[in-house]
Amino acid sequence: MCLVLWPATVAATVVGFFVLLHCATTLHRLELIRRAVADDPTVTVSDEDARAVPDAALPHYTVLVPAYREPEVIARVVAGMTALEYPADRLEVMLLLEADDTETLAAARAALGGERRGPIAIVEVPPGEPRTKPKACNIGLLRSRGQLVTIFDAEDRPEPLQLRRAVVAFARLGPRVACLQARLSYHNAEQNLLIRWFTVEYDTWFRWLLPGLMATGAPIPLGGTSNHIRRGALVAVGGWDPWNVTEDADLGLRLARCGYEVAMLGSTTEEEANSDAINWVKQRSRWYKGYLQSFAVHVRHPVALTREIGVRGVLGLVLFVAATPVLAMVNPLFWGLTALWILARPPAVAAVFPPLVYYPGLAVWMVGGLAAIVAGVANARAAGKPHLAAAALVSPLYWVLMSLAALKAGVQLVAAPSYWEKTTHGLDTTPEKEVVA
Amino acid sequence: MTDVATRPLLPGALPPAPRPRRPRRRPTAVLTWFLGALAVYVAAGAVLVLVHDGVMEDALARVSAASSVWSSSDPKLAAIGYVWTPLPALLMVPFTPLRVLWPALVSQGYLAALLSAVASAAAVATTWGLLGDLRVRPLPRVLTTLLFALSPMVLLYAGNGMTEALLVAFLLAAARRLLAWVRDGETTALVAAGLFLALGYLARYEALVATLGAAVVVTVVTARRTGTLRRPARRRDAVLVDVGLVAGPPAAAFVLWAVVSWLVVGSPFEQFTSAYGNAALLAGADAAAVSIAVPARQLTWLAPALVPLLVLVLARALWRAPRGPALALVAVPVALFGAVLAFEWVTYLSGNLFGFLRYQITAIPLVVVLLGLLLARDHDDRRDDEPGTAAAVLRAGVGALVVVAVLGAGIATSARAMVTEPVDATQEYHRVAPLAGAPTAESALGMWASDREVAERVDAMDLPAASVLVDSGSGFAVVAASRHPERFLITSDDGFAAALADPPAHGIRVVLRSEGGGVDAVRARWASLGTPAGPAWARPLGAVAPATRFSPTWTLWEVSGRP
Repeated sequence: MCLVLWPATVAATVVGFFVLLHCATTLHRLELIRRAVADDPTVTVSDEDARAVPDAALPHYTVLVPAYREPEVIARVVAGMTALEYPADRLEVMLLLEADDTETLAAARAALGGERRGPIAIVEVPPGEPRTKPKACNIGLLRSRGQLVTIFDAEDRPEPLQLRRAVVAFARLGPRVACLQARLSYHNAEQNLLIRWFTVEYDTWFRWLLPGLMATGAPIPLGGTSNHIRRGALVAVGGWDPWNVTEDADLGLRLARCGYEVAMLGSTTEEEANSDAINWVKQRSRWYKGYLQSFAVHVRHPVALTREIGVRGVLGLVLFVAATPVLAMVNPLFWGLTALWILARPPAVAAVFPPLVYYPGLAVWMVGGLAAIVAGVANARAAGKPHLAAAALVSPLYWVLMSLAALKAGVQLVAAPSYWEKTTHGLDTTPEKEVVA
Repeated sequence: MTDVATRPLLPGALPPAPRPRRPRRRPTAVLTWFLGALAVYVAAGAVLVLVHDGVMEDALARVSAASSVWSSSDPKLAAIGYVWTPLPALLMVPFTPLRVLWPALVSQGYLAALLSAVASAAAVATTWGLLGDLRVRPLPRVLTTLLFALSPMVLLYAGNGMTEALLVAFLLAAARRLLAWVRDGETTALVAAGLFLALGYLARYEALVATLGAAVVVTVVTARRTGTLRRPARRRDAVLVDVGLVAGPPAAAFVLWAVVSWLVVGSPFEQFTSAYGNAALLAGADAAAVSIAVPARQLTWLAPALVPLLVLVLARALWRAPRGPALALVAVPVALFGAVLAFEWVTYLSGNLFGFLRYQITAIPLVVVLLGLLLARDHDDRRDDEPGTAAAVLRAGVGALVVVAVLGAGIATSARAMVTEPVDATQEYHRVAPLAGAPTAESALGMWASDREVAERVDAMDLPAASVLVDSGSGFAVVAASRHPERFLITSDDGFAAALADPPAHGIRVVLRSEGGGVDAVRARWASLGTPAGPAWARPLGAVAPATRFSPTWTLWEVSGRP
């Protein structure tokens, strides 16, 4: 009705809302970076301290490795898990494979020489919907006995001392901290421009944005792997949501709602980044869809949510978890309007950008864009990867890909909310390198 | 660590409880310095600008432009003008509508004085923080901050609305971050330095030269710093990235502002090319004999102890064990502030800049930072940390004496120059000397009275909007003083050029012409008004005599329609 009566006013209000959201997220992210730098909550455990714990004092540790239709990376899993410095009698590595995924099962049996080798064992997940990673993890959790539980993806190369560091960090932080998120980075960062962008983004995410969220007391959307969780807490919050396609982010939110804290662990898991743009868009669209899913699930009871995680927590949730995919979705519209305005100057564009919308929009477009680029370049330098700075400099092109993924996620959220966009791994062509901390 | 295995893992969900908060350090000392300095500067500005009508020309012009954004007959952001970089005017734009409640904010330019007061107070707070970073002992730290805050040039430029205050504040902030970066290599400090330099450029062109100085320092420091990057290619990348981080934001600001200027007024560098820019002003001014003695004398007034201080600081750095980093620390203020000084000298000596005393104001923060480096204590220096020991008291006492000697000398010489040097400290002399009671001084205080009288006369005429033609480059004070600014058609309004060419055809009822002073488009086009060769539509409405030697004579012309 309003749209019919006052189309320009409604359009200007909608545009104004997104400009405001853009301003708020830009300021929020800058604040996160400031806090992450000013009081970095990342827990670092030295090699000596990590190794100082006698084997007998270490808790039982469960490592869940869900895999689906990726026979080509199974051999690497075995290598990566064998490299972990943790006593075999206190470690159980569960390869969670779908019972009808015969190819991967065969590859795993070949690599292990049977159903198990040392601490690594195959766990068959009964076929059935939803066929998702969180469902596999829940089954693994039911069959495991470790006091601490972590997840690695099949292609991950965790830093060998990561489990020991996690044990020491848990002991130092006390029982309120239920989860430690290790940093993720990419070992194939040299492969192409897409991966350089992805690496810079991940490093910014795990070195600045997530620590910033922790420092500001907001709930943390966990990364998909290398989150180390106390079993008690995991059981208490009900494990993973098998219907959510970013069960990791959802778990982080539920931990926060139950009063647990999450801390960053100063240890890096090297993952394989998507080197193929189509594959990348699929993966990113699943993440965005999952973020929107998680947000929708948790704001169903806004009063309870606010009571549990506080106003600041809700603000962080809105500006970080919800705004990221939403803004990626609407960005193409703004780019299009800008291009249209420069080329043709149609009065309709001017009508939806009254001065109160236009000037903040212009400012956030320039300042926000430049800030994002500078943050990427600075993070590449701070992470000791100055050679990735050039990629960070042209990262606006990367934002186009993000928007494609966000639009796909938006469509899928309605059409197929729990459909899991499988990411193909094993595209890494770089030679094996030594894993570094 | 052995209790980990036996510690009971969490039995279930913990009840929601307030999260333990990390105690945050409250910046009370910094805030106290900021607020204290602000109070002094706001008061100083009130005395100079409100009581004695002593706001500087450029400052009032910026307030008038910022006000025109809302109140001109053709309101638009582009009215902030393109001769100067935009930050000072942009910062004032949100506050100019307050003229409705308090006209003097705009009519006397007090808003600009408030802006320079805030900037200078921030500079004082930054100085306090910078000296703390360097671990200067409390007594010399307090004295340095205090004497910097109260030095005559800083006090005057905090109160007169000029952008020198912003330049000093941003350069000091950049210097503080750059010193931190040289000390510990934290990338974010470098980013902050780059952002402050970018803001500096958006306030004053000179910050671009400081950026070049900073880029040189960063290049050398990163190239010599081994760090964890061992491969030469990576280290080359590191140098490029570090220079990009410190120089990229100012470079982006430079490009952005040039593009915006080009889009709006059709020329990227109005300061250098327009009729109101520096070059045109120089061409219009009397070419006084350029002599190296002028900037040299000015520098000795502002910073008489600069050279011996620099020698002392260099000697201390050379004597330090890791000589490279110590010298790099000294290079930071020399590069930032020294580059600006060198630039002003070179452009003045090559005839491209006026020889104003204020152009060398960066000599004062240079001295302050050098003092900080002279009195700095290393972070591992624990020998005399016990406060109250004889050694500590002695060192603090000697430091305090050095501070008082160095900054005190500058205060004395610069204050003297302001009341005795009508030529080489001309802008300061004509405003400070009358206040100090110097009997023979020609005062620039009250110079805007004639412009206000013009505004009153025009206001009394009850004219429609956009009917008073005036070049806001010369008539900014008239527009600022008017209660009806929308009645003027000013340079930034669409239709100004057409109305200037043919006033009667464009609804112009009154034309204002300044009879002297700087560039005036009306005077340039209609020099013939009032002469036999003049147009028939003009009827003289009389003149307004200049209030001071520094004010123009205004003539008013009624447009009487085509004959």
